[in-house]
Amino acid sequence: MDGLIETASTACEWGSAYLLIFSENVGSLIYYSHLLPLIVSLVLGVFVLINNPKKLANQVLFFMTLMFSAWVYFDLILWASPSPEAVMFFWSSIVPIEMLIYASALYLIYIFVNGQKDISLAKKLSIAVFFIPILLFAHTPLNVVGLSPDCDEGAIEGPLIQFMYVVELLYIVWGGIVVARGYRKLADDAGKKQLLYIGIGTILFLMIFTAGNITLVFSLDPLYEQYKLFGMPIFTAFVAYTIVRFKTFNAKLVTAQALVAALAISVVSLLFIRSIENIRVITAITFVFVITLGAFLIKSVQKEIRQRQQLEELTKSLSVANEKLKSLDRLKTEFLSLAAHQLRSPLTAIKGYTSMLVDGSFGALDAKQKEMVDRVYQSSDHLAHVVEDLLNVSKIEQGGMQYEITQFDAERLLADLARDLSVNSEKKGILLSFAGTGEECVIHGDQEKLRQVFINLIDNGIKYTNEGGAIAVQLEKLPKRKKIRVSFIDNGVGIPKDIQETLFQKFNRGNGSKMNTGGSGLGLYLAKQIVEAHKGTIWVESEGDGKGSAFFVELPM
Amino acid sequence: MRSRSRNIMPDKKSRAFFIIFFILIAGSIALTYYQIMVAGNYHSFSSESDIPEPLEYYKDVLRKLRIQ
Repeated sequence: MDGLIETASTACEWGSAYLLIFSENVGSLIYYSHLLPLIVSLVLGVFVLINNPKKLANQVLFFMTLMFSAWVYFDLILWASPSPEAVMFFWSSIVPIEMLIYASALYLIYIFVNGQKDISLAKKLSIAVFFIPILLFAHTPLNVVGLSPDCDEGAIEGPLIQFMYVVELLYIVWGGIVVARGYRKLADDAGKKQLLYIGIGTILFLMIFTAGNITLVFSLDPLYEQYKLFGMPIFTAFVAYTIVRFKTFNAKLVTAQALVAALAISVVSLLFIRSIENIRVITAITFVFVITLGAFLIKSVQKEIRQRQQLEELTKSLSVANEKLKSLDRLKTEFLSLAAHQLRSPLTAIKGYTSMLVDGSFGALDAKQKEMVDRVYQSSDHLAHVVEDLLNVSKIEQGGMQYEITQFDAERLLADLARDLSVNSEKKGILLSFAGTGEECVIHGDQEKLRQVFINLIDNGIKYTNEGGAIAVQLEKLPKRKKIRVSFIDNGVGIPKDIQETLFQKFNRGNGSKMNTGGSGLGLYLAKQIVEAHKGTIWVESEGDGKGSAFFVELPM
Repeated sequence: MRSRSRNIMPDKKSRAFFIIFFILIAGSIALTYYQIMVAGNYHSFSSESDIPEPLEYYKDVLRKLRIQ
């Protein structure tokens, strides 16, 4: 394009322009009024897009700022270029670009009204329909009639540009109505405020832009038109504020910081302008930008500090409450341990003497007496198990559980258990079977504690399976994962999905409370703690009520 | 997740609309480029008196475009 302009015939006796826009013929105010909004606009659009490129609102805002930047660049070309062809082409092309700024602004407002979702195709078509005359006549003299004999005037605008001004006014009114209706319609308070800030910022930006155009219609000083571009930094300030306050466009605080940096760059750029006409105007505008954005940021920082202070206070009180809870938990564990120890000794005596009574060590008992003493023995045995569980829980919670790691054959352990416990299952009419690997299956672990885990799982199966049911214990080797898996599968009452999630928690009895099975709710909790201490995993699978259940234990070989 | 991405991204019809719309805009700018930069088809008025009366001029342009 540079080459083209250099060879083109020159209508005015102007020097050539570097990069189409830098020329000695253009005053500092023009560069300042163009480059400041151009930088701010590009920074805003790029940062918002980078933060979340997939979000429609971000894409539309990026497009809007891109079109605005293109417009500013084209306008600078019109100011700087000595080439009549360049002036004619860019003057004609600026029309669809300007329409796209307004249309995308209206689209952005609609997206915020619609809860940041896309709008219907019909609405898009109703916005786009006004582009038809532009598409048809942009290349004709109806757009730009021709070059003016007055160099400063540039080109003579045709009716298409007047039509564009009318459509722009229509878009502004339309946008205002959409914001007002949307504000009343939206139920969400944060959504309402976001729409308000984005809506006011957008409409203010468009109104300032249109006001600049109106100065052209009334043939006022073209310098007045330059102020229309300052609508973009104002719009940016509104967007920055919504980003800081509502994290709109999913942007982080860094975006607002980047915008401040862009403003600072723009202010510093003043130093590089050799001579500044209208210094008061430029300084006043810069001052207003900095003060506006600065006020927004100070307000948001104050809010941030207030929130942080509240958070710190909450954290402190939570920390105190947490310490209290920990202390209470320690006391509870100590109490459990103490109570369990105190209970264990008398229970051992009760069990010993009742056992001797049943055996007839103190003389023969009649059938009725024997039955009663046997019941006392069963109950004290159950109580001894509960006390043992409580002691184990307190040991685990105090970190005092000791594991005696040895090598043992899991196949043999499970086969013995299945045989021993089949006596209990047969009493209830339940078939207990074991399927092993048929060979030695050596693992490292605390044999006694793992035995307790397996007993617990088989006992649970017996408790929660009705007469005529079956329990299958299966052992398999998983050589690739260097693990063994023990499955305990029954066709009992099953476990609903919601209970499965909390089944391994302390004092959770699953269906036990409904079935009155008399468990302590500690067995599965202990099983999980012991298995995990062996670097293993335990889990349950069940299709729900009445569909049986399957417990699995995996342990390293 | 799928429904969320549907909410934030335009659907197929909208995408088609945007593609057609931007092709038309680009086409219009390309045609303008051809008319002015390649064919040199534009007016350059040398004096104020050469500038035609707006209404008559626009009628003439439209006549040339065979719209009227």
